[in-house]
Amino acid sequence: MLRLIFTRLALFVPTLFAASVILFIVINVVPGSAARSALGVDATPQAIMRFEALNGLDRPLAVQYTEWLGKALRGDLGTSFQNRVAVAPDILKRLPVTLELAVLAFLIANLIALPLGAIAAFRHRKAADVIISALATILGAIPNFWLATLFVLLFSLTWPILPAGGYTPFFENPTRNIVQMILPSLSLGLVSSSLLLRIMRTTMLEVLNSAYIRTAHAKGAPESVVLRRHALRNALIPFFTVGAVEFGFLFGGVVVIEDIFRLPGIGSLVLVGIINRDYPVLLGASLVITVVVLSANMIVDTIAMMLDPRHTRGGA
Amino acid sequence: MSQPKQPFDGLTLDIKHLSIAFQTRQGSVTVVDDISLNIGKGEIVGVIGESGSGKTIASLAVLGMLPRGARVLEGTVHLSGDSLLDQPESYQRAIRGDRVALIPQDALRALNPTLQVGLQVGEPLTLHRGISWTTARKKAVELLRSVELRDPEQRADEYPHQFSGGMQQRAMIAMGLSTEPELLIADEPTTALDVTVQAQVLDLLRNIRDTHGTSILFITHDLGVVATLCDRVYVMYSGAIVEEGPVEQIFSNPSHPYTRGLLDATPRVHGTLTGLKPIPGQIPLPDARPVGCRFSDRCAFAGAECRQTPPAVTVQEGHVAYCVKALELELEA
Repeated sequence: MLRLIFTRLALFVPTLFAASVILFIVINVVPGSAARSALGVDATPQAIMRFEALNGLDRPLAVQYTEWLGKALRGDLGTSFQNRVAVAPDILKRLPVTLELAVLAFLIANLIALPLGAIAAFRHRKAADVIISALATILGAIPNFWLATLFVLLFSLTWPILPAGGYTPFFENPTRNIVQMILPSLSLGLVSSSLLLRIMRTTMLEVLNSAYIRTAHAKGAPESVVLRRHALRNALIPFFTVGAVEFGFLFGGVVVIEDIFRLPGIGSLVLVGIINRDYPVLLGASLVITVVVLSANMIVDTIAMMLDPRHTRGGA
Repeated sequence: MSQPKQPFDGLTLDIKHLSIAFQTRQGSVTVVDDISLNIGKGEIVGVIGESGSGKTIASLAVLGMLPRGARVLEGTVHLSGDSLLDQPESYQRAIRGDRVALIPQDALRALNPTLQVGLQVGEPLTLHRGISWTTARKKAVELLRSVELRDPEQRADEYPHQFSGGMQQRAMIAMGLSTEPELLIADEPTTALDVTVQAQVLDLLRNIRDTHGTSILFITHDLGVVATLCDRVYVMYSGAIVEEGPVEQIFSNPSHPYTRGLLDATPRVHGTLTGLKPIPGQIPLPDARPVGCRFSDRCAFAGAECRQTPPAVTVQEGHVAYCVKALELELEA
């Protein structure tokens, strides 16, 4: 068990390295020029050359990457081309916003997916299953930005009960923070619940058809005991392992949702970085998101392993 | 509620004219067709047949655990005089795992991978006797010891994957025995085991019968196992019983061509492998059975009279073959 966790930790570093290389290449291959974005369309060729020389953009990519990596290892992610703000401190300041949004959304998604998925499997091919499966399909087909816009329209404009955006740090005003987070995390969580729900339904179905569930029935255990004692834990192990992937997908939505609700998180930083070709910002923000997703996957995998005695206890 | 009783005649299990059908899109398909079967107290009765003969479905009906889509068309099932069919689920649940226990085929799959073996073995006691988990675990250790598992105290806290195949099956048997049931239904419990372990498990089952007087319904496709363990045997083919009788008689004097075919297709110590005669053809699907005797399309002796429903021919006391030519064949043999 400990060895498995160490193996995962050891994989962390090469994964991160690979991610940084890929990000660096993709960012530089995509058309568009940082200098033009920073200086405007009317910039003279001289000004552009000066800008590129100043920021080291005229050197080969390999040299640029090595320099960036050397600094990054010391915690320096460079400064923004656009406003000369140091990237690393800016990200650190924004990280809690994004983490709160992602964790809340993931919690909401799981709170919807776990019970509904289990019920759908339990009532396989009955009315409840059909309704829940249809709901999952609809939720999965809705783009989260559309849902977010609809929510703002309904709950901020038509019935003004929730704010349409803004952010207050949790420790400054917890109530205000939660109220502001409801719509962003709901629009993100509802859409994410679709995949999780279908995963839960499938794993639960598989478990319910297994021989040990038949054994439990043959012992005369009532349905509730069969589900609670025999089915749930066995369904949760594969659910967590597969579900962790959804946490990564969630960050695709974070970028857009933060922008819609004007949340000062890392997602909005990524968006600004893309629009302005602000490479240091884009690279730094993407890498921190990679670290968050990798860590989340590792935590979830560890939980799944702890639930499974086949990992924690050796063979005969 | 009052349970319909029939006069208790000493039979632990009494199945009469049981028919079970699956509802499919093409209509109703009868998978168990008018079978009657009984087991006396302390008797070990084998039900032998190929896969698809309906033997497992019939046993699930006894447990009230028919799969979705299957239902009992007619017939009665009595456990020591108490009717088991047409009872509310709560009644059947109270019987299951208490008075009737199931020992399944693949013990590893039948054990919950995330629950300690001791708790699984003791679980029927918590469900039916209302005892605490602590007491149930202590009882489980005793039960594991009684099925000759070494180090039961340590083993009780282990998980199924830490057990060998034979140990897993012993654990399943211990679980089945926990409530001292009247009837054990063993559904091919030795199929997944090595031959030596298989022999140990069969010994164990025989000991259980001898010490507790437990009746055992033993479902198998293995003639050798039937010969070593069972007192009486029912031969099933395509949803119906084709021959029944004491084990020695069935083996020495098989009177249904199908039983004879089964015996001829089984290797023997003094035979040669080239002497093995497989039965030609395949077991018919339930919706494609021949008219009359359902074995007639594979039977070397079939004639025009086999297109009628085969009569029950008593070969000897307690030995019945459902074949119009049973006595003729016996003369031939």
